[in-house]
Amino acid sequence: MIPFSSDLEMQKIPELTQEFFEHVLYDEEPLFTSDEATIWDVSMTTAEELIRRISQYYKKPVSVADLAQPLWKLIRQLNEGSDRSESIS
Amino acid sequence: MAARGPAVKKLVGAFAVTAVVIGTAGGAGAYFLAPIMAPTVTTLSLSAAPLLPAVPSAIDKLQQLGISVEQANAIIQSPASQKLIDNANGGNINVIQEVGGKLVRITTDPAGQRIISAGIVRANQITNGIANGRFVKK
Repeated sequence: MIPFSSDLEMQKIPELTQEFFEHVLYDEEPLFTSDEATIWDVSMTTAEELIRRISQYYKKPVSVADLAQPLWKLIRQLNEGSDRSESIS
Repeated sequence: MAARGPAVKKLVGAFAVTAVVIGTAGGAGAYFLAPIMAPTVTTLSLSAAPLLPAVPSAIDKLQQLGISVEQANAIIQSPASQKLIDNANGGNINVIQEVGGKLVRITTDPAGQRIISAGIVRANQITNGIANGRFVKK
């Protein structure tokens, strides 16, 4: 049996994750996202398009390197210093 | 685990059917658009993440599609599944199988040792990824 990687960090930020999926990955239907998953593990969109969507919604610049980090870290990074940060435990 | 038993039995047949469909007629775009491929799998030494046989959230979400953990494994191991190496993502492997009329994607590490993510994809996303060189058939 192939195991599922842990998603404990993702489970800590369900609202932020939902928001990210709704506004950035709106053309994807992720069912399970583990802590080691990057945006490339849940999206088939191009880097340019993802950066455009993220920058447009979160009003923050992001780089290709940012996209390479685990998704839960990226989502937290995008919400740092914002009103949404209070949702981060 | 016992609670998943009936679901497993109910859907094993469905998987057999969908496997045939995929193997013969399904996933056509992915097969036809595959460029000349010389797979270059980059094996990453990914940091070891805690592994669980199955995490509750994964079970819940997969079961929304009528997929059990056992069936997710069956998809990965099925020769009928389309397996695409993701060159944009360190050689992670996207395993694609049609289930209930939807294309299910299960992404594993390059060695196929653990499930990193799962979701639903559209055929055009796969064909586009193959066309632009991001995905190559394994």
